Amino acid sequence: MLDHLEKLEDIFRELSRGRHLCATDGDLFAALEKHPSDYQAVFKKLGFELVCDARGFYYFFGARATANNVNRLALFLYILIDWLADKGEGIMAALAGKSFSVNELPHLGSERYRGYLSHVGIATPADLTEVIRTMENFGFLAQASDGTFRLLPPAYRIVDACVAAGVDTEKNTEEAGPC
Amino acid sequence: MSTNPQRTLQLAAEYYGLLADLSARGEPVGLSDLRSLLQKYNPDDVRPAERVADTFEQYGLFEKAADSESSWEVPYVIGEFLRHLSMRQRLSAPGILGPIIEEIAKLTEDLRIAFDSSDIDRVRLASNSVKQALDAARGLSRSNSRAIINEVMRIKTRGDRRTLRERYLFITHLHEKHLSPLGAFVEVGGEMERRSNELIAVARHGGSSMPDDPFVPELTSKIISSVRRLKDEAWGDFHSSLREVTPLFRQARRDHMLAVSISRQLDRVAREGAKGLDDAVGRLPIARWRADNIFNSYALEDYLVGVANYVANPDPGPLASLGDTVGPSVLDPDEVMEKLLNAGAQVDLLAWIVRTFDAYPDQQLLQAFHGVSESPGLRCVSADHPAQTETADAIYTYYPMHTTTDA
Repeated sequence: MLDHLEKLEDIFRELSRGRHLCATDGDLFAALEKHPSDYQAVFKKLGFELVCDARGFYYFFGARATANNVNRLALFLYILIDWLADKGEGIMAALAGKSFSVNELPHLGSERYRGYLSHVGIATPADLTEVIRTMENFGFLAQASDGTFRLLPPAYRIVDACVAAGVDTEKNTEEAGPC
Repeated sequence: MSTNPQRTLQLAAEYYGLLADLSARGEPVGLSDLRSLLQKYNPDDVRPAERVADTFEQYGLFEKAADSESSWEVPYVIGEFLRHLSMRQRLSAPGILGPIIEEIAKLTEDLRIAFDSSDIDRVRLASNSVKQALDAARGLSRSNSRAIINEVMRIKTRGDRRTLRERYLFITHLHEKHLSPLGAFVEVGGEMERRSNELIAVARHGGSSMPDDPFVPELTSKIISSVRRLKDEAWGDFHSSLREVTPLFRQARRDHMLAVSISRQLDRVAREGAKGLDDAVGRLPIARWRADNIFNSYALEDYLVGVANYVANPDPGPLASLGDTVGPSVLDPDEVMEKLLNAGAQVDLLAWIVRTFDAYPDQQLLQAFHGVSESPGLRCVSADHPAQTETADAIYTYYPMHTTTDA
């Protein structure tokens, strides 16, 4: 019955570890793309919600058990985007696969950014490297051997979270109204 | 300034790079900057910068800056000419097309009056003016369209060196102040179409009202074809500009909104610390499931950690040399069961075990209680009221188990 669902075990292993699968994951992504709703149904029976994002990636919505320190990953990306905006770089274009050199990241080079990062315990290049590695494990970015990385489509999820939180905050502020 | 267009054009050709650079900057240049530019664009030129400036001024390529006698700028018309040649036009002020169209409307009225009075000289004068106004409108439309495309290209290649916010504001300005009003002019039913139709109607009316004049057909035909050309080109210019700007506008708007959200988020982190990220991170649960996630109770996890260290038959180690007399005694469940059957029904099974096997440690007594109470040969019923039993190590409070045998 499940024979047509290729790589089921591999896909489950990766998704349950928090990985977001996109086109760079090759066979696993291709298999999901063939029968997304069938995979969704199977994983639902096991208690997992497989989300198919229209921007080309899949992930388990982590309602049962979730990863720690996600705030470090989010802050890393938010700072990167803020820096791009100041430089006049297109954010959407950057999310669509722009290559960044790890050595040229702005995170530890500015006092303002260091201040933000100190709240989540990132203070050294080694901490930064660890965050990048974690993001790679989760499928948010792909590192190359030349010390560069590029963001992958799942990074949109982190950006979405920021926008949604901002919208809610605005709504709450409006509802609270002037005292 | 001497009037020698040929020499002016020769000079402009010789120093084209320098003049194009200066006209693109739109700023006055002093002698030292002029020297640098000469070095850059005309390195073989041995003439001193002062002399070059004087020559440029003499032939109308330079004029003194308004606020300084020792700096010069490229006159507006020369700048426009160079930009036209290099197709790097600048945007005209928003709304400048409107007055030209209004002017065409006025000239249309003049032409109608001229036709009505059958005055060919007046017709000629009005039609020339109309033709010039139509050409001006067409030239403006074309140069604005090229300017817009230039700006789009600069943005696409990041040659504009603007921040994301500046770029968003600029593109919004481009969209709202240049394109939207232009669209209102050139689209079907817009001002341009209305004025064009009026002019064509006047020209046709003129053709029929002065049928015997040999010049009128040519004049009216030129006016009608100029109007049509303006309509077609302005419409084409507008749509090609729109095609270039719209995706960029959408992209800039998306980027800008995102940058604002991120900026607010970072501001929150600065004010509230890591807590400021909670709202965003709360929307970002990342699955981290492992088999051990199913044991989500700490008590159970602790218990399993203990069990993991259990060894059924441990290596006795140094205890191996001790005699059997000091070895730990083991309470045999079969022995307990046998004694219980012999003893008959009990009102408190645990109390009976503790009494009967008091030499054994509590752990073995409890294991024996557990084993016996689940024995299929025994019927057990819990009492309604708690009782207490004391051993050497502890006092147990529990609901006593009444036992009877099946036999």
